[in-house]
Amino acid sequence: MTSQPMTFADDEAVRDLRLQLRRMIDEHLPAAFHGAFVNGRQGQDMADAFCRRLAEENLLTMSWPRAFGGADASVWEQTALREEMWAHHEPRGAQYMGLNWVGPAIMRFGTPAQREAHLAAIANGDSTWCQGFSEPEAGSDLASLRLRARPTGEGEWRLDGQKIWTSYASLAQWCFLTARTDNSGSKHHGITVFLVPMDRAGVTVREIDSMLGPHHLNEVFFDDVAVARAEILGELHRGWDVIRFVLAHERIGIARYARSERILSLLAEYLPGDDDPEADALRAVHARLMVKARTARLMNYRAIASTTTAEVPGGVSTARLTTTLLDQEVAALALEILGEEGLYDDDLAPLEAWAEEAWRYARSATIASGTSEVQRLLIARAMTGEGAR
Amino acid sequence: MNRDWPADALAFEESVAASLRARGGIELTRACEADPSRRESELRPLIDSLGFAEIDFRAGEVEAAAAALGAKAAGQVVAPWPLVAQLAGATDGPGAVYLVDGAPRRAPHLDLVTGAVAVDLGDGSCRALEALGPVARMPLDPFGTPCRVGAVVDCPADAVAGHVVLSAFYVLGALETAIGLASAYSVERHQFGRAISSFGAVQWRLADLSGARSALAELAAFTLSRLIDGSATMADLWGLRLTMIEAAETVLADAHQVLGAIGLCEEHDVTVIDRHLQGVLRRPFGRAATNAALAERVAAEGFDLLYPVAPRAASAA
Repeated sequence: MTSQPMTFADDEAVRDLRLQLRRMIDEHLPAAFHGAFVNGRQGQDMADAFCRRLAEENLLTMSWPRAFGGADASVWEQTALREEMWAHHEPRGAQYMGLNWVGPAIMRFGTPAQREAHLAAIANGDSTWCQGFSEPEAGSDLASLRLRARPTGEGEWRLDGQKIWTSYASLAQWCFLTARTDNSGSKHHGITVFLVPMDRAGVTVREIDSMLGPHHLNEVFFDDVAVARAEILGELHRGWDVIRFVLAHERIGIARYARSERILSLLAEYLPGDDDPEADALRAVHARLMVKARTARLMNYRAIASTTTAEVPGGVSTARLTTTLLDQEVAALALEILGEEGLYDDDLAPLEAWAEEAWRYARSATIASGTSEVQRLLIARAMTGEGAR
Repeated sequence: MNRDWPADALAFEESVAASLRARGGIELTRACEADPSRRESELRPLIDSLGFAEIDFRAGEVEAAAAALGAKAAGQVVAPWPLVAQLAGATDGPGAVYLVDGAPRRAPHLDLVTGAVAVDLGDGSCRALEALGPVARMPLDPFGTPCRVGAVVDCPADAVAGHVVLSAFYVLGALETAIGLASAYSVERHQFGRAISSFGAVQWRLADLSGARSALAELAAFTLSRLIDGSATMADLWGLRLTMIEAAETVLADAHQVLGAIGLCEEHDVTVIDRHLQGVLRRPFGRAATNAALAERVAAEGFDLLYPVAPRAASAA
């Protein structure tokens, strides 16, 4: 019999794309760029400018279907894009959410008017979205959300309640908001998704200072906020269908392993010399984590491939769990290798003061977008046949 | 990127697994441990009939994949046969390849093979390996055969690579069996009025079992592909071996915890798997030495990532 040879290498198109992206990053972003939100407005401006450059090269929405102005990029081209962006501090800034899942959700569930209103703005890098999912009493248990949308007749609803941990809320023009419109059935029924402008009367954002840096965590309050039927995405009370689509679209998550690989590569230059008593121990950990980083990437590739081939039970959660734990181990190693210098965020700090920011951000790796506990629960359920992934 | 196994290799894996199951699976392993002569009388005809002797992992992708998946199927029942050592050998070279670190006192199943060689990972030498007597059964070394090394002989350059990669698949098979037993038991076993799989602490262990298995499965397939295309470095190989050891430590320890006392009984398959794997995990050396070897090879060769690490000498220059 004949078969295609097994290969784990990038094909030519993916290799070329990586080179193009690295060239653009090199040309358009300063070495000290640590992400759109580390340095306030200046970082956001850089991210916006970079998004426009990507749009000019038809790379910003390359994952979108051609019918919506995308490039129908292959799953591996999309993967390479995610990897290169995350390895370089996600220079698309908050817009990655609009590109990755808000846009696709509007393509899938949106009315012609909603598509008209939002898709071009996202594709041009002109609109920033935040995700209004988590609430004080609804974190991992998303379906327990309480923010209420009250019908007033006249095809209008009034929103009352609070969202929390809402990243980029103070920067966003739009909120992809989940609200409770009906309490009569199961908790998964009666949820509705609204597309709400953040400047609407009654919306208040309060930033929460955190170790992650500015703009990462916010509270958003909705006080008698008017929303119209035309702002409902999908069907009334059927928002859980939309949420499931979004979660499936976000199933792989950000390519944290790519940043881990880049940090490990950069750290190699800082490993101690032969006469240092810590040299053997640190080199051993560094080498071990490089293997783990490679393995995490392969596990993510398996999860990505499982969208088109036989599914691996719990594979997505297994990949996420491995990747997030790796993120923390690599960040810890960076501080271990750099020592006191790794704590500093000034101009003299090694690695452009990247290590301390990576370490702070890594604290959230096993919490954001599904805690490690939830991932383990999903894996165990898949193993014992007790539920979906 | 194509991550699919060749159909012929998958068919071979199923054939090996079905044949071993038909002969009793791990029960046959248990019987061979009690009476090592049954390896010769019962396993040899089976191994011969499956065609392992005709498989050459150097002969291209399909045969390399068949060797790997055949080793995995054998590992599922910790088949008491020196399959990996034989597969790492060559039709026109050594009949079996053993990896050692210094002069070994014992080598598993050496009484079953002819033309065995020992590759010393310390000095790189390859020497004839000779059995000095019958198997001397010990709990953690059930088929260890007293041995000595002899004259320096030729050895194929890729024998070490083949041995390391195929061992990883053998261990992967064994771990998959242990995971299946632990997860099935977690559903069957009820305590405090419900299946123990419903307790968070047990779910945590099940998830870690799965993660360890997936890590080893993915890295083993990747490293095999590098072995096939000739790009596997020693750093790649020691990275795989380290992952194999860590996966086995996690799976065996956590499977025992899920199974509780029943898993410690000789009549339970996890006990047999656990004991029989220890030699594979310790020879030629264990976790710490493997990690040190990995670090040494990374310094010498670099390591291929999305952002590759250069060899230390080159990066320092």
